[in-house]
Amino acid sequence: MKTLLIWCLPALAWAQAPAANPPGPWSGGLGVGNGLEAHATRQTGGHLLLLGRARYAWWGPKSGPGSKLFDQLNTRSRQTELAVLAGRSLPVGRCRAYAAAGLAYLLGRQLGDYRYTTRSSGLLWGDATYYYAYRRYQALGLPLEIGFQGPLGRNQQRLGLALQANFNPERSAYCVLLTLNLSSWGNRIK
Amino acid sequence: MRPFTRHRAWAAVFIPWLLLAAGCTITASDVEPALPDGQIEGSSTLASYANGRPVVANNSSSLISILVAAFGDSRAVAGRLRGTQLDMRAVDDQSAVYAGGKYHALHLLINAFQGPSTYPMDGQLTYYQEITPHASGQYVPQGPTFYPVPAAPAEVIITSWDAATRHVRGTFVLTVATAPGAPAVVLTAGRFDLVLD
Repeated sequence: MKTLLIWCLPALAWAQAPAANPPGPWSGGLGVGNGLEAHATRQTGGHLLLLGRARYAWWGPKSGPGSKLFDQLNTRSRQTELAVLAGRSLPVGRCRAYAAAGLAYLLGRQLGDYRYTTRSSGLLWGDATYYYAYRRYQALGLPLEIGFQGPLGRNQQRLGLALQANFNPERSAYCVLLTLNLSSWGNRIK
Repeated sequence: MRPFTRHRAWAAVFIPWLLLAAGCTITASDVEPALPDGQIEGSSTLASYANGRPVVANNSSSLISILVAAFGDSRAVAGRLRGTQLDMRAVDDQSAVYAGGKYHALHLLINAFQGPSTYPMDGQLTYYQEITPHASGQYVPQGPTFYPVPAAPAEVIITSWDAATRHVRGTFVLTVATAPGAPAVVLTAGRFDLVLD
């Protein structure tokens, strides 16, 4: 426990220390959850312009072979999203909440029905590879995002939570992501 | 009354356009997995498209399968040559008991086998059977058996034969039905790569 505290205290101090300078309008960061995301934003006054986000999400079949959590990475539906969004943010104490909507380009594949299994030889049992029919698509979608970001840290970073959705005719996707947003670019350049 | 701001004008144009775009598919295609070409990791393999859907049977060996084989031949793909009669059998996805899925047994039989050539299938002893997987103790009626449709092509092309190693490769096409006029199952792009007993 003591070791854990020694490791965590500097990180907590880094996260909670007040900013030495006000942040610039530009920021960017990463999100991790049931998808991986990178984003860049521009904040001006009460308006938040989410310039872009790129997100990769994947999920397995609900039933059939390969449906276990870590079973067979090739039996995964997947979706890559490139989106531009515009919205507004609202200060909540030292934190901020925001909401945005926009337009997204989607590239993905959606698993269909299970087709066949191939097996390799092994000592006790061999590896199995499961093959599914799938649908490959490109589409335009309506991306939505609501999020909450914590107080600004010493290095002008904010930790947050983002709820993302993308409505489209092929496969609507929903993601919950922990985000790290760094907004020191503008000031560091000065 | 509040003035109609530039932002509201922007939203009035932008939001309906977003809603329209959200219903747009640019390209989409349904893809079936490709059939394996040749053996799968060195084990005997037979594959084809059955009415356009891929069906694959292949062997794998392990200590468990060797023990099970002591009580009967449990191989998914096997073949034997008796005189000049070549008999091959394949059962696809023997463990595919998911979601009520079916699996299939295919027997291909050709006479007067003499190495690489094109052979008609034996119309009486060639058949295709649909099998419904079932849990232990559960009764499932036997699936229908399909036989070659007389007017349709039913041939095997042996492309490679090594008498020393008994390794045979080839392709086949076959159309089967349960009865004349009944819906047919068309097996296309059939291919096999196995070592005969």
